[in-house]
Amino acid sequence: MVWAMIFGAAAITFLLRFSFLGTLKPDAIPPRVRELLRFVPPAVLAAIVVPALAIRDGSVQLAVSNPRPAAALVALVVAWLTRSVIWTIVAGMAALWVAQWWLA
Amino acid sequence: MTPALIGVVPFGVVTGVVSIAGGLTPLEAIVMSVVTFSGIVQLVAVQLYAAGAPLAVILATVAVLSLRLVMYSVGLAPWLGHLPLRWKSAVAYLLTDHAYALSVVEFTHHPQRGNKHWYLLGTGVLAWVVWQGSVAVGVFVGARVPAHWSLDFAFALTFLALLRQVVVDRPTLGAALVGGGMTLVTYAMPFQLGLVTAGIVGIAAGIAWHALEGRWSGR
Repeated sequence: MVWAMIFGAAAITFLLRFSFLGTLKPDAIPPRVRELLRFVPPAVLAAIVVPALAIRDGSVQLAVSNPRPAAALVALVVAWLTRSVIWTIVAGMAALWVAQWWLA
Repeated sequence: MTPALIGVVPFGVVTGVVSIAGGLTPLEAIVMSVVTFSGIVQLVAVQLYAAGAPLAVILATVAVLSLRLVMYSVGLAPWLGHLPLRWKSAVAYLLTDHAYALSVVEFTHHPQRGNKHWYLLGTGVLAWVVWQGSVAVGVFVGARVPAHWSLDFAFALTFLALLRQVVVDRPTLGAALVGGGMTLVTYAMPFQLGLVTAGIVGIAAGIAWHALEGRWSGR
């Protein structure tokens, strides 16, 4: 199962990377599909981020006892202003550690 | 080393840590990192695996996550489509968010530049070395990091920063808000289908938003 997952995931990822570069002509892609692809990164990244922040132990937790949403809000403001991966991580981790120390 | 590559290091370390925490052996974690060479795929697949998701759901989720790579493949095809198959295979294997972003800027500003494939190979190999090294650090050292450091939170923050870079207008903001918001409803879906469902709904929301804006401005 684990090896099937590893090589299955690798095959899918490679084939999608190879698709238009390798065999298909770029003009073969209808403009509507191109439009669809533009919305994949924002939708998918948000769908990864939100549960990582708001869901703990299998349920939605937005109470103050979960410092993650608040720390993420700080990081979100920094991300929007700086567009920097490094500063977003620094600000978010600092906010989380302060909040954990406060709640402890 | 470009600034964007520095952001790869914590992301890679976290991926290594999460791989081991999710139940992979160090060998499996390293092999997975080498054959997929995609942080998002590695992280999400391992988390689904740890949660006991069926193989079909893991692979379907991987496919949706990797759909953006099709967009990059389309974007680079006009410049690199003429290359021999072995070159296109190598470039495809090394094609990441990072390599695509750098190459598109470079090729757009210098359309006459020769040997474009060498540029992509260079940035790709550098990113590959940094990535695999960071994952290995996470795999072998990460287990000793205390839990209260909340290193897994750095993983969410990396995606938050990436999200900032892909939200460029109102339709993409709509896709992000709906895709993210939907997970609060879909997280309880059986077989860990929540992520893939929320992602598809978010994509549909972006398309709908874009279509509505076009209709309003068309009048």
